[in-house]
Amino acid sequence: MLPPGMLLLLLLAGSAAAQEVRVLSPTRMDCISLADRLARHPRGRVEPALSLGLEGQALCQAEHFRAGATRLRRALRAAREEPVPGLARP
Amino acid sequence: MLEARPRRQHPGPVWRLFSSAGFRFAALFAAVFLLAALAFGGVLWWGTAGALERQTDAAIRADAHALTERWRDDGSGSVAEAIEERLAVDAEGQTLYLLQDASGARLAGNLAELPQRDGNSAWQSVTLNHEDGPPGDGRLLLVELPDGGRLAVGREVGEKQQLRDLLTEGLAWATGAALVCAVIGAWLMRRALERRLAAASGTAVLIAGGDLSPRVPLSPHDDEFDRLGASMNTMLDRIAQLMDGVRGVSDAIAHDLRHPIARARNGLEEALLDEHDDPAALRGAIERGIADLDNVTRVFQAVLRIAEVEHGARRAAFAPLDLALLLADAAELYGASAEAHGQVLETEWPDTLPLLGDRDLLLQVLANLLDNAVKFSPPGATIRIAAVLNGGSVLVRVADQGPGLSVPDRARVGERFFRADAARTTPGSGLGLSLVRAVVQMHGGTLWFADAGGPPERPGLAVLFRLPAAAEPAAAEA
Repeated sequence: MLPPGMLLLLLLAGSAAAQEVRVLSPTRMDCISLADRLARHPRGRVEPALSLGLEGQALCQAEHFRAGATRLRRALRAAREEPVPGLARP
Repeated sequence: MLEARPRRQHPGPVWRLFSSAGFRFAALFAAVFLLAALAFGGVLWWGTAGALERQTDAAIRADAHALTERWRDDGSGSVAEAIEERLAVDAEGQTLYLLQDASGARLAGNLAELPQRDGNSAWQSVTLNHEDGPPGDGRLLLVELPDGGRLAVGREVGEKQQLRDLLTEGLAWATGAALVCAVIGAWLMRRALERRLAAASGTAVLIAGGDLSPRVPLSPHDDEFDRLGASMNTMLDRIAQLMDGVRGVSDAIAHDLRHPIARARNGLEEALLDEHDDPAALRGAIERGIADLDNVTRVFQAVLRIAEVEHGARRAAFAPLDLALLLADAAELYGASAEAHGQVLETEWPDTLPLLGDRDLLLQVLANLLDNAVKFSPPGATIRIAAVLNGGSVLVRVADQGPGLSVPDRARVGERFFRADAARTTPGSGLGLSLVRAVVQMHGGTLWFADAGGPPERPGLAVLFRLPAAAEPAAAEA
């Protein structure tokens, strides 16, 4: 049971009746778009981006789009973070 | 004139509680304690949850600004590409975007729709409904684009919200604990105040009951309450001393006046019952009775005069005078008396001793001192009266070769009707030195006693008093 002081603080701190907004889940098209981006990236076929990308594509093919998209995004991030040999990091 | 306000009596323990000073102090303490706790909580909130919110808002604002600049440079297509790029590397799914054209069609982003704008504020706190996950909380910044399109940039703040809730709950518990501590502290403070004041109030109750002997017990802390108790004790000592004085004066008046009045009555009664009817004897009895009654009147006059001097009623009659002339008058008057007793009066003072004071009272002082000196010194003794101008004051010394005065008696010699044991057989009322002390004090001076330097069995008494001198020598006195 919360004490009255805490309830008062919660009431003061809480926001009043926030609106609801729907967040779209990743779709097969998102998976394809992410895989395409990874394939076009110069470090897209370098570990660990390669493994993460393959993993993501496999999950997408198994219709686990959210998990697959997450793997593909991690692969893209890994590819971006690894410097391309001979290229200056932007 | 101050009037005592009638003390209101209010029934009921609640009113007594609220009217208690201890309760008010305790309530003040509790209020200050709670305010301090709230201020502390506010600062903590501002530095943690508030900082997280400000940090999130700053990131959203910077992102929205960058996308808006990009829209101005390259149009909606470029912004849509930038949003896709940002979403493509957001593995944690923390970012929220939506770009709509003027018709409301979605061009890019991961939000299905925009929330209704809440008033003029561009910021929105929203609840996020994930299609394949639990709901969360989000923070959005809505930007109206010049072509009628709309851009929403935001972040998921669910984890930060959880942290904020935890902090809120912690602060609420801390506030509750502070409230309990404030109440307990206030109760302890009230009890401590009551306990410290109990000694003084208990003593006051006993005094009010008529017993002047109790005193406020003092603790070794020497704090404000002990100082108050010490002041009360000093006041009670002074009151007891004054009460003793009043009682002593009453006893002395009854004792000293009973004898002359009884003597006058007996003399007149004997003359009335005398069988010889001798007119000369009757006249003699009446004259003795009148003399006795005159003595009684003199005692009353002396008492009244001391009271008058002590009240400062004659201070308005102060005038510049030369004490040297008063000394000469007193020495001339009592020189003859001393000579009649076979004594020698030696004098020594400068030509002028300027003072501001009452001439008659100062002459009375000198007369009383010389009268005592002549009365208590044996035949052949030397009486010395001397005065010096020393800095800003005049010091007068009257010394005799009498029996002197013991140190304990010197402290009491200013009391009315006080007579030392050695002076019991000497005529007098015990009022002379009381008047001397009162007059000296009225002139802003001090009086004290010392041995006159004689042998131990007869040291003599030196009476000294110091009076403030006038700024300039008095003009020739009439």
